[in-house]
Amino acid sequence: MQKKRKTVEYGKYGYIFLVPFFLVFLIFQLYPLLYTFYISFFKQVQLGHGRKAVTEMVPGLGNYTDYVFGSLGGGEVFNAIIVTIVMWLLNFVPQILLSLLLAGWFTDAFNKLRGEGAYKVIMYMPNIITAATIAVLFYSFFDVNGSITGLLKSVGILNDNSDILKSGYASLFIIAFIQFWMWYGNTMIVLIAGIMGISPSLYEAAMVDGATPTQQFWLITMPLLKPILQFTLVTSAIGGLQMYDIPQLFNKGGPVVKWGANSVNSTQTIIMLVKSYIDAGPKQDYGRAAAYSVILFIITLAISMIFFLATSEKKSKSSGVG
Amino acid sequence: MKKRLLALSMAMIMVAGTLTACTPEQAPAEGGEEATEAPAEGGETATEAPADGGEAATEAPAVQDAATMEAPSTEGWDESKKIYAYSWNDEFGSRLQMVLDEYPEYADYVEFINLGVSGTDGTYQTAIETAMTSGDKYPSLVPADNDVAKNFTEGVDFMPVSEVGITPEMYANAYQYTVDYATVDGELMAVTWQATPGCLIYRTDIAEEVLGTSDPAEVQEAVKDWDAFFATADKMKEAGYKMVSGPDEVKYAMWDQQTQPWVTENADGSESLTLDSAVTDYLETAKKLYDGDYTDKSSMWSDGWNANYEGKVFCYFGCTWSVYWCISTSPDSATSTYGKFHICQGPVSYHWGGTYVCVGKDTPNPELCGFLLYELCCDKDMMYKISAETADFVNNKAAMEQIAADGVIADPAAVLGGQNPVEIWLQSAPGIDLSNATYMDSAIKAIIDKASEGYNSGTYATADDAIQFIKDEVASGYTNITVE
Repeated sequence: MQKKRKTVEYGKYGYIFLVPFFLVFLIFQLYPLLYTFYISFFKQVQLGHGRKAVTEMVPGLGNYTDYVFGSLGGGEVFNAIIVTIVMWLLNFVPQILLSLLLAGWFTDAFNKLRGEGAYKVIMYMPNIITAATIAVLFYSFFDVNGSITGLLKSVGILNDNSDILKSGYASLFIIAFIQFWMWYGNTMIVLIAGIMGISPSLYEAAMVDGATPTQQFWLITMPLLKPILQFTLVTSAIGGLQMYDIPQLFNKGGPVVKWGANSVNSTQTIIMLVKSYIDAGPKQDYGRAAAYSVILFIITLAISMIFFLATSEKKSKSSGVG
Repeated sequence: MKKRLLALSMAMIMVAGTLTACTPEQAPAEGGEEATEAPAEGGETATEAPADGGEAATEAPAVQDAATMEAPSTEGWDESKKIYAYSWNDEFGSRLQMVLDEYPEYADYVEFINLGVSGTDGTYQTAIETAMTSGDKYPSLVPADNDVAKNFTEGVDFMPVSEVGITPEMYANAYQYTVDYATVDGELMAVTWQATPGCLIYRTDIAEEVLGTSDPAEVQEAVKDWDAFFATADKMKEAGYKMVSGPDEVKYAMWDQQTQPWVTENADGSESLTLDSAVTDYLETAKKLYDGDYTDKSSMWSDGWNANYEGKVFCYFGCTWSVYWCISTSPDSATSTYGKFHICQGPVSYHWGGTYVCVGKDTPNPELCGFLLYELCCDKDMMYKISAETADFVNNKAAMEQIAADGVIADPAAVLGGQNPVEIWLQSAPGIDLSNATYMDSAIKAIIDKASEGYNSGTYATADDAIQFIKDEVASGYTNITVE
């Protein structure tokens, strides 16, 4: 006689566990996202101010034609996006190179480093300090009477009269450096985790075949790291495009530089620009801020797509094993 | 069965957990952004107000028996009668505390919330508006920094102070400019406890060394107009000192000389940008200070600027609240310059900032709001006490004349080495004229700061380029203003 085994169905509780996430996502992320799209199609036309303000929300593509692509907005969106992307590139390229190098060193099976754990902790530390503190700290370093300025002046790189923070390019570079310094430890840890996932037998086989460490790196590590690299690239790009705290606290949009006939705020990222239109005051214009946010969304989407496609694994059509 | 129950209850806890966030939010206490650290970092492009200092407006004499207000009784008051007073730093809170120390029966009904941002920051106004819409901790007393005050008084969220019981007879001792500035369409929308005439704060030891004297009247001769100012600057340079800490030091003094409002309303309701020569004069003067090496090139409110109070800088442009808020030196610091400062009028008569307190229109306790504002801004004895203890120059002619007559020097004013600053301020306060102020002033001044930075560092070759930048910024950012 066969006893019927009672199978316990836990599957549906899995869905219940997912409910909180979906609730939060729907209310606090999806709805505002859709609403932002919605209000970006209403242009605010205001006559007068304060109590005497006569405000009209004109439906249509006004925000896009006038502010984003038109001359009324002074091209500020695209200036801000270029500043943001340049800032991110200056930060990310050195960051990924250094992290790959360090990850390679730390996971090298034949290179026993002493105090490896201590190195990892020290390199990760900058990520733990609050961005606000770091921005203020670096500002005081580079202030006219600051320590690093004094150092550079005594070595002779700067002449006595210069003021680094008044140079747009220097400020941009310093902010990119702060970001790099804060995040390279994090990227390194992620890459180490990725490399640890590669089977050591591959390296042993390669060594037996006489591959040099460089060849091992480029032919074994890099291809197998693609999923991790993809993750790092995309998350870094999204985070970089949304950079706000450090530039805001460092130089508040920074000194103005001239590109051709345009005056550009050299350290104003796109999020800072959007925020300036959200704050209460005479400048408040939700439609415009929403339109700028939509442009940011489109650009983020485009960049992420490019990265996904560039690092995707080509699924080999296995036609069976003989 | 047990496992099923466990799984189910865990799922329920998680769902419940997400809903705990749905409690009414407290008003955001923004510690992050520009948290005020030492009191010396009172605010970024802090308080300003444009005025034409030249005219000696006919100021009414002090009234000795201004009308009084009865203290409301707390009978029948409960939790719902509690009011919230906000501010961006703790100055208003400490003044309010002095009033509450006199009237402790109201202490339970007032709570002070310090948002910890810069007074001209949009974040402050956003936070106030959010608190008003949410209704939680409704802002009943809202101080506004002078530069942005018109955004508050000309807005829709506040009620005239007459509706909480403040009459012109009670406010009779206020300086006329404070009444005019806060009056919108004939109604007084805000009151202030401080008047803020500007002055020049100079170092007595440097003055003795270079000019041979530190007497205020004689130093005033050496800086009585801009030509004399630059002549003295040359002397300072030869002696190895800097005249001022940074090129932006003169901005409030120069902006106050404006001869027309920077934004004018047209007949059809639209607004136009109408900058005047005060802007160009400032840009040129700042450039002259920068190029001529008369400054240490610091920015106002930065660490370098603070440090120069103990350094080799001859003078600072300041005003009444600079004495207790800005001069960052103390008797026990290593390079102390405590007691080595005096004040004089300076090249122009101007004023700088102030705080105007508005009343939220849906306040749950208008009587208490009215009484607190009466005590803080109208009551001669209370204001005398405030000035005597904090060195604040209060907005009460009778009280300040009494302070001068009694020769009272408040403790914080000891940094001035024995000089009584009140006499200098009493002379300049009646001359302040804010008739050219508009709501856009704070925004335009922030843009002028950037333009000046660009002009100084060479990004803009001429002052005209810098002015063009200002116009472009206003045109692109504020579409309700036409710029030609």
